[in-house]
Amino acid sequence: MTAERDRNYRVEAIVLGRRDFGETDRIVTLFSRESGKISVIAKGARKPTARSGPATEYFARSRFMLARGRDLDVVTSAELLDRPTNLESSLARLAHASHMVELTGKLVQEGEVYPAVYDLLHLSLRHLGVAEDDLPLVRWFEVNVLTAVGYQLDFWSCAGCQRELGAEPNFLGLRTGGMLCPGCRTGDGQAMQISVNAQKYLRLLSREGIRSASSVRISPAVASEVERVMAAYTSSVLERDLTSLRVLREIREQTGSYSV
Amino acid sequence: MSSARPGVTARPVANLVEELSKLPGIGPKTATRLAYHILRDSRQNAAQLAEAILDVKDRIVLCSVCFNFSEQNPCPVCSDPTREAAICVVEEPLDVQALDRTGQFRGRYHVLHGAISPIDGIGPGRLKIAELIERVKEEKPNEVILATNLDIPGDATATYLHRLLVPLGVTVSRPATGLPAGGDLEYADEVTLGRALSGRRVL
Repeated sequence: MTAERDRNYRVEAIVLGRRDFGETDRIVTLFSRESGKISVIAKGARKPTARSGPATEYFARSRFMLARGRDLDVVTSAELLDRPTNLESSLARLAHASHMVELTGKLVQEGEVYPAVYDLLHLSLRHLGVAEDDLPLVRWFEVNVLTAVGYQLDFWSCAGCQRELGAEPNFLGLRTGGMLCPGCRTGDGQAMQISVNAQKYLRLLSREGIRSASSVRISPAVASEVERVMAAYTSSVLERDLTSLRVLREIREQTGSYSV
Repeated sequence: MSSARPGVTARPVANLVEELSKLPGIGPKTATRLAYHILRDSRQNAAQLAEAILDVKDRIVLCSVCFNFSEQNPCPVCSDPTREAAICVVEEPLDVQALDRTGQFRGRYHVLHGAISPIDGIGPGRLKIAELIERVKEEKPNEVILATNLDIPGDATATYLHRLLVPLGVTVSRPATGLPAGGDLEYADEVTLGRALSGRRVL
């Protein structure tokens, strides 16, 4: 009886990715509260009659019953809990959701549990499309998910001399992995200058909750600068660029808009 | 990784296993089983298989109109004058076969070769979208049916295409979604059931 119970386990998870396997199966990458990142196989999930279809859709938060398998654990039942709304209506929003799950998937390691990251991702996906502009939410998520996995940036003091940063353009040292004052920046060959307003905004994102961070209005120039800074920092942490950000840039170039 | 280890397995067999395991959905075990089946089979059957593989590579081209795989360019469907002036847009060539088998559609097709999916690195530029827009402008069909998959990438692609096609003055439709034929209502998932209800029709 105990062995039977051990073979099967239940998780609540967000779908980070999926790929087709065999005739009708799907290999799904889940990020669960209880077991962290796991790859499972959903047999027959691609058939139109499969009940597990919507539960294994990208970005879905679902409850899974899993059976331990030799290579991959097998989905024995799946129930959709919720999923972000209206993703299909905006390519930019779809790219933002993709960016959040891709970043999460690359920051977390299999075999480790990250309940705080799970809650952060769940909350952020739920808020997507609620505010008029998704960009503050995406930046808030980036700053906070990096903090949750141990890559916190201190926007108040210099990582070189430890002094408080002055109200002037300072630098993000990509090699140092922290903020640098003008005096210490020379020690880092990959330092990015950050304007005063962008620094204020980054401080706000790291200090405030999701609601107040999402409601702040900033100029397109600061939004674009902060996006560039965060993209450079995440690429430096992960040692690779994120696919969904590349597609987001392509969508913007093709449509000439930030919100298509 | 191949399960046929060099040294234990003869090199030509190991090579065949390695090549077969590159195919989608074929793991090392299935590849080994297939390789030993080919090994035991007649030389004639093996030659037929090799010839068939080379044949598709040598003789099949992409139709320059609909981008389906075909032996001729334009493909028989695009060059058939009896086909109706409607275009059904699909993600993959296999979808054309599935839709044509229904016998309910007598128009032509357009294969996008995927769906917009930022997480998989696929943006609109990777698909045959610009070609579709040009084709619609030129052929002026009376309807474009967006038969992409009913998942997030498929729905997002359909929404994006709808936005591009409507200004061209063409009727744009999407296949109905809902309950599968022969299925029991109580076993339907909530998303499918919700769509079936919102798309209900008056009898």
